[in-house]
Amino acid sequence: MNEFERQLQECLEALAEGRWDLDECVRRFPEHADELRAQLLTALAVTNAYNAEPDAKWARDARRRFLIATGQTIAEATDIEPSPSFFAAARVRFLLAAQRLRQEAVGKPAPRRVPLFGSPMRAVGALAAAAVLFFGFSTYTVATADAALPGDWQYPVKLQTERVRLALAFTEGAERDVKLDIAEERIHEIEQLAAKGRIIGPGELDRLVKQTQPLVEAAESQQLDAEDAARLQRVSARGVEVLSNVEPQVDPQAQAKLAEAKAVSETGISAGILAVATAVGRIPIVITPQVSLQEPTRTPTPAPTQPAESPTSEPTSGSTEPAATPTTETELPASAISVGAVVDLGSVKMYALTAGPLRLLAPSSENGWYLNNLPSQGVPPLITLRQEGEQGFVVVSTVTGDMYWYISPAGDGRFDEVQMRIVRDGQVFIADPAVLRLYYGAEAEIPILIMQSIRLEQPVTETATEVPTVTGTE
Amino acid sequence: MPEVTSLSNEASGFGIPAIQTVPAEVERAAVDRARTGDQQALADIYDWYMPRVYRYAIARMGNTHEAEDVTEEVFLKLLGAIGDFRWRDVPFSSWVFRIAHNCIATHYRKTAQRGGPTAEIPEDFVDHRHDVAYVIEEQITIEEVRVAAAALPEAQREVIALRFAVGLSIAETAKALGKREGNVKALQHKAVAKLQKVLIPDATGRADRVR
Repeated sequence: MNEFERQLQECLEALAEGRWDLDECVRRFPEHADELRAQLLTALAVTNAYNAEPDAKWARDARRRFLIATGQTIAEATDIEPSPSFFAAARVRFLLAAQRLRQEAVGKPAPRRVPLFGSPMRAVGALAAAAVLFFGFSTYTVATADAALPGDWQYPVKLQTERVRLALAFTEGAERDVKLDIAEERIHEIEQLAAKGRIIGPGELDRLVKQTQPLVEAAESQQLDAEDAARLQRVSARGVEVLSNVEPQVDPQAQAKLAEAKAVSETGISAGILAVATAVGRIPIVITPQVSLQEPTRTPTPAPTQPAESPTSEPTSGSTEPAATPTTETELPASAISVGAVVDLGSVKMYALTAGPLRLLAPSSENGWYLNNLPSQGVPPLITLRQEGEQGFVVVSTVTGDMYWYISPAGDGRFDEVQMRIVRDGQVFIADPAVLRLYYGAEAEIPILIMQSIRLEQPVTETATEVPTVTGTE
Repeated sequence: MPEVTSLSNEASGFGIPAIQTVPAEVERAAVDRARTGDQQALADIYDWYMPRVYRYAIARMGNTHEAEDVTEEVFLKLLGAIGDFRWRDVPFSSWVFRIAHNCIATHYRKTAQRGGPTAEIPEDFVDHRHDVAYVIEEQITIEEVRVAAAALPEAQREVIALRFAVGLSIAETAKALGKREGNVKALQHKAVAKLQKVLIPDATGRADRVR
């Protein structure tokens, strides 16, 4: 680079940084004033000419497209969006929420059950296709053109027509389609009866049960493909919705049938989801245990967090720290739960908790978490970590390491049941943290930490461990 | 929510386009978050870089429709690749324009295969150039620059686009093109000298001496 070029370069940089203006450049390098001015003007003209702004409408649209793409990419990366099981779960969640709203309207609150999915298995090739499938039939409408309802004189004709359709369905797939049509039609009829102010009797409900049950069983025994299973899930979800809507119009004599129909539909939802997920190669966590959502009886016990400034060090203090467990008002003994070192994770202080074979990191009382319902002796089958303010609690099985998180996003005493971790056939499945964050945001962080820290020791004989300390003494 | 303040160097007097530049540490934080899939960070990066990528595309292609297409393509590529971005390799800006460079190269290859020339800038092209007429009495249109730049060798055109349309530094341009800085400076000087002869021929009688 010759001297002129060096000067030109210096001027360009100074101009770009706003340190000099054109005149200043020329003044500094008078020996090349003319050339300098000409070339700087050229650079300026080129800059100016290229200073185009995109068309406003295109810019708006392109930005939107990009943002949509970011959502898709993130979803692909975290395996959320293309998963039919995720869609199914979201749909169930939505429908149950809708149901809850309606129940609120009639003054009958009920807990939601939220199956969440996740597994160590990752992206499966068929997922996208399955997702397309899954939505492909969202436009499905009740197939029958026959509007007859139970009690109408044409209704037997309608039922006969269905039998003919079944008889004419020569392939297994076609037959299942017809069966799904029929099950959906039964739900539609119940809805229509209610809309017309008619009473829903045991007959209608019985037909619904009888015609849905075989489909649910087929799903449970993995005989449905992803498409049918997804549709069963949809039909069942619709069933749950309609049945709770029409409840006031159900014949008092038919209450048992109503309960049965609801149960079948609820099973249909989870069986459908499970079958969809299995059909595309994922094993979701679908658990709806009947864990009581009643207020735990015992008062919360502050978790034994020593402000001990040993955040990262010795897990050796196990002998002293357990003694700290019964710190407060209750009669808590050291029992079989022992507390190890505090682990400072920045925003969260966790401490190592041992209960029988179970090892986990539990959030400390500094983060508003408390151990709850400790037994007076032995290893409790479940330990409960309770969050201050009744926002939620976590139940962990000390036997299997299964973990459930109950959270009340609205703080209204109604809880989502979130399945975090389950052992099935010896394999551990954990809920997808990305999905959890999607649903619950930062609220999910501590439960995720708990979930990810759970370990089970190999079972040991009773005499080989000192863990059930109190058992020996009593 | 986005507490990032965008610093515009519009008032620099040089007429570098009103590019939103952000402090390096802000950009770094955003890029790191974007690499983990943070949508807000990706949106920020898009907002910071889209105008520059668009200008680069305009400078390289001279056609609004193609520039729009390529700009969108660049950001989709970016989305797919940002997880692999590593700070030790190149500055983020250079990395972005390396993607842009590749997209345009691909685009040209496809166009060449189709055999069609790229279309002209349409009549209704909206020219939003900033007013720096206090330095240049006669505005030189984008079309004039495009015609003049078309006569430049590819490498010089590339440098001009990155330096003057995008506003990259010599170092960033070098990293984006995988060239040495000295090489970039030389290409820039040759290009400016040639453009000057075409665009402002009577600015100086001695311009010919400059090579």
